Amino acid sequence: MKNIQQPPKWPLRILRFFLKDEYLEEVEGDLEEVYHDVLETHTSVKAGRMYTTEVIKLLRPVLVKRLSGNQKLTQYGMIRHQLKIGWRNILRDKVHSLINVAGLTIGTTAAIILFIFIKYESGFDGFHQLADRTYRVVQHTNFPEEEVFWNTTAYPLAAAIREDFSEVELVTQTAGPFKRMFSVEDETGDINLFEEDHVLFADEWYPQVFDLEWIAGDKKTALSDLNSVVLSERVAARFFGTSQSVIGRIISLNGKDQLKVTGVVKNAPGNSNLRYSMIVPYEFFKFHNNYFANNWSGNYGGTAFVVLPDPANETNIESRLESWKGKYLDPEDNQRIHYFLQPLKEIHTEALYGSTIGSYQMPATFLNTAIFIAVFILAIAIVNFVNLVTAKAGSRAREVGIRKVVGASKTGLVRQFILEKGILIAFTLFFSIGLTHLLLDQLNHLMAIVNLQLELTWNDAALISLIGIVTILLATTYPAFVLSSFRPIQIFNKTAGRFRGFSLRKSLTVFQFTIVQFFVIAAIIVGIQVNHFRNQELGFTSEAIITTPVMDGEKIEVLKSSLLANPNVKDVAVGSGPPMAVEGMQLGTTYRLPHNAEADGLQAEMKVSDLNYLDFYGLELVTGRDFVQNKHPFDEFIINETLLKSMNWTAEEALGKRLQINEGEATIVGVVKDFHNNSLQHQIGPVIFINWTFLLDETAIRMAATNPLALYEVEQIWSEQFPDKVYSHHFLDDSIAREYAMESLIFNGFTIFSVLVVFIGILGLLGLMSFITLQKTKEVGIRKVLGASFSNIFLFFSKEYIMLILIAFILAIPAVWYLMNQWLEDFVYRIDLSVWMFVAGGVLTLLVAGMTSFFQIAKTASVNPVESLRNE
Amino acid sequence: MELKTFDELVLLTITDLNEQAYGVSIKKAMEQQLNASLSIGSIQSALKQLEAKGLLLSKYGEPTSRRGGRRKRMYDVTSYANRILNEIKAKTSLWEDSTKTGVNFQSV
Repeated sequence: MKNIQQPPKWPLRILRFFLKDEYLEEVEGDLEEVYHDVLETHTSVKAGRMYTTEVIKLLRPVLVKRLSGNQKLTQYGMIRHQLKIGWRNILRDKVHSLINVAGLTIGTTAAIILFIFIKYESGFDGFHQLADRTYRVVQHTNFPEEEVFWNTTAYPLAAAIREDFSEVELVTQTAGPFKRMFSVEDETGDINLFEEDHVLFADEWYPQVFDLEWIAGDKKTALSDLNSVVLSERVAARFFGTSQSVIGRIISLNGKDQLKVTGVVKNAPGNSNLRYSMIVPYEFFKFHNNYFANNWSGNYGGTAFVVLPDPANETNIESRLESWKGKYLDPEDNQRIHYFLQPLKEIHTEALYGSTIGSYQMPATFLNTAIFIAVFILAIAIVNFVNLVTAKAGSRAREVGIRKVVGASKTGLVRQFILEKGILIAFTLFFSIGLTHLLLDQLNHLMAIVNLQLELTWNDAALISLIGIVTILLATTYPAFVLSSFRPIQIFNKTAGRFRGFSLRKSLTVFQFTIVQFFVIAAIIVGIQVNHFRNQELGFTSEAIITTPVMDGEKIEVLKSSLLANPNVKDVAVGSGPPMAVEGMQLGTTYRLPHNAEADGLQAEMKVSDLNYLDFYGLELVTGRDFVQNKHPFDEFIINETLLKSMNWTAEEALGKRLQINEGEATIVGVVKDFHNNSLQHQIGPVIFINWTFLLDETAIRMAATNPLALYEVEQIWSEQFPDKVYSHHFLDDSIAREYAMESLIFNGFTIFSVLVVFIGILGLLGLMSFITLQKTKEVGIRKVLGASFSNIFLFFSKEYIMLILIAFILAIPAVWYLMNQWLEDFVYRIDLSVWMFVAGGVLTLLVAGMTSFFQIAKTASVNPVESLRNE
Repeated sequence: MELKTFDELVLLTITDLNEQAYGVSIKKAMEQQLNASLSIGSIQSALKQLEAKGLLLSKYGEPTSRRGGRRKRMYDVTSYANRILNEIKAKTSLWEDSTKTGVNFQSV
């Protein structure tokens, strides 16, 4: 061939776009052959132009591709048709459609929110890269009468482990978080005071073990200098008004130690138990707290974390710790202290060790309950949907008949109904997502006390799709099969009223009402228990009392008298803390008879109190007298009845007896009636009041009025005494209520979800009733003509449902009985289950169900037979 | 069956080419016969329609370098097409006979 000219490329591309694929090879070949023919007599330009023209002329209907393939085309038409019919069906019965969509939306929304909550709560601290291999060292202490579990350990522990355990990859020691005071000089030279609750002391290994998000500063060196500090973004903004370029600035701790800012990190995320608002090197803590930091027998808020190369080594390390600790602990401590490793990810859900400072816990049992609720609320919504759709199946019977007569296959019909309802469910899912988004904000706001930070992210797409798919499958499959199984011959024989699936619908109704009654009864029991809990006599008064710290023991008397001079203040007492422990703050000690060995000491709480303390809180003396003077060293004790019992004394015997505690020996001068020194989840423990002058750390003020002005006056009086300190106060009632935050949460959660469950159940019943009454309008007409009264008709409709609800009631009882007893076992002060709670739940359900159906039935029953029988 | 004149010509050309009929050869033969230039599109659409009506059979032939290595599609008429062509031929010969005997339609 003398010419190697090629035809232009782009017309070919166009050709390939529009020409049917099966003709391409032939036509392209023809085009190229003609091109070469032309080239023999013409220039390549001319040939190229002719080639292009030929391509354009190939644009003929016969040769051009269809808009879509043949097969798709028919499917597309069918789907469009089915969607149209589906849409018409939704519109035709708006009430039922609305009930269907509403019930399902509530169900899926509740489930999505709960699952997001569960995911959040069970993923605490999972975001650290080494999370799977990181452990907290926890301590079990065996006392003669009980075992005490600590989430903190002695301070020298981490350094010693690092020294002796080469098989441990990383070890880090922290102290706190503690409350500290800071002063910062601003541009104008003014000194600003700040108090920060969560100052964490951490060594230089801490940033290697835990993933802090560094905005500025070097994670390798930021904590290596003694006088440095790493701020969270929030604190940086609080101290300096900005979180930008604060590196190198100076803040002073407690007004004396200068700390240089060496780093800024992101705020601690909500789903972490390790709280910090700023981090100061552990070396600084060690330097300034020499006694604590080198003490092996005390437990003062230190935590050690270890990272193992392989999680499988956990038990090996634990057994090595057991034999190793004797090297440092004195023989007595070595006997009773045992160290264990707790996986980082279990800190949040393992209730045994209590929550870390500034954080909270979500016990695994609570999360399991949440899963249970989520599944059941979704189940009840699905059952509702299925029930309503199958109940209405009869009205679609003729459609199915016609379709079958003109040749629809059963699978085709199944597909139609699944598609039709599936689309409806998909829509409800979109509603749910929007609703979830709104509600999560509300929920976060409501639970700001635990810094809840739930959000809807793309990561939840999989979860939501899963919920959607499960819902669609469960809610559509059965109705689709029921609908498609109608036989044309029966339908046109006018026997269509009797369709299959009725007995299943009965069992679904029973299932639904079992769950409804379960929740109703459980909510009643939870409510009574929480109420019992809240109204428990504490044994002391807490109304209108505010507490505020004493900064300087020297000034107690001046502070007291100037407070009492104010008309808004009724009374003042000073002590080491309120009668009931708040936020776990208690002074622990051990007590024994002076001649007994130290190892026989029993655990007790000690409270230092002034002369007014017992009167102030309304604590009642059973025998003996109050203190007459606070002194150092102390020489008098007042004990509570629990301690009395543990010594097997009568009140009178106790008076004058000598008792030895860790801090010294003194004489018992009084016995006080038991009061709740621990929060109500726990038993009352032995308490010893001491007439000491030390540890009088807290002023309690009973206010005549708690308006802002009165509180401001108290602040003024306080600040006069402690001019360079930051004032703060707490209402004792609030502090006590915070101890029950989790119980309140459970109660509120249970109430909300019970209401939702009942609501969905009622929606379902409403739908069913309205359909059934409509279907039987004629029958009612005939019955009325034959002399039936209104009550006859009401009974005629409702007797079946009353039966079903009663069966459900009987089924619900054992489940509630068992589960609620389990739940109540965790409470020391608990109610006992009694029959009336169950009966109340059953009656309540019956009443609500009766009221729901009543209006539907009344509407049908009041129709004049002339009306209902005329339209034939 | 009614055939368009063009289709009839295509069928006749294919019969004439005797197993050597494919897109380009048909085009060339028809251009020669009609003394006019034809586009590939017109030939191809006629071929596809005729094939769909069952008047043509086709199969792939040999690839040639002149076609950029693409195969030809060889066409042959079916017996059904032959019958139709014969019918047409019979009609035409009848016409010819009638004109010979002097029937003049214009005068009728």
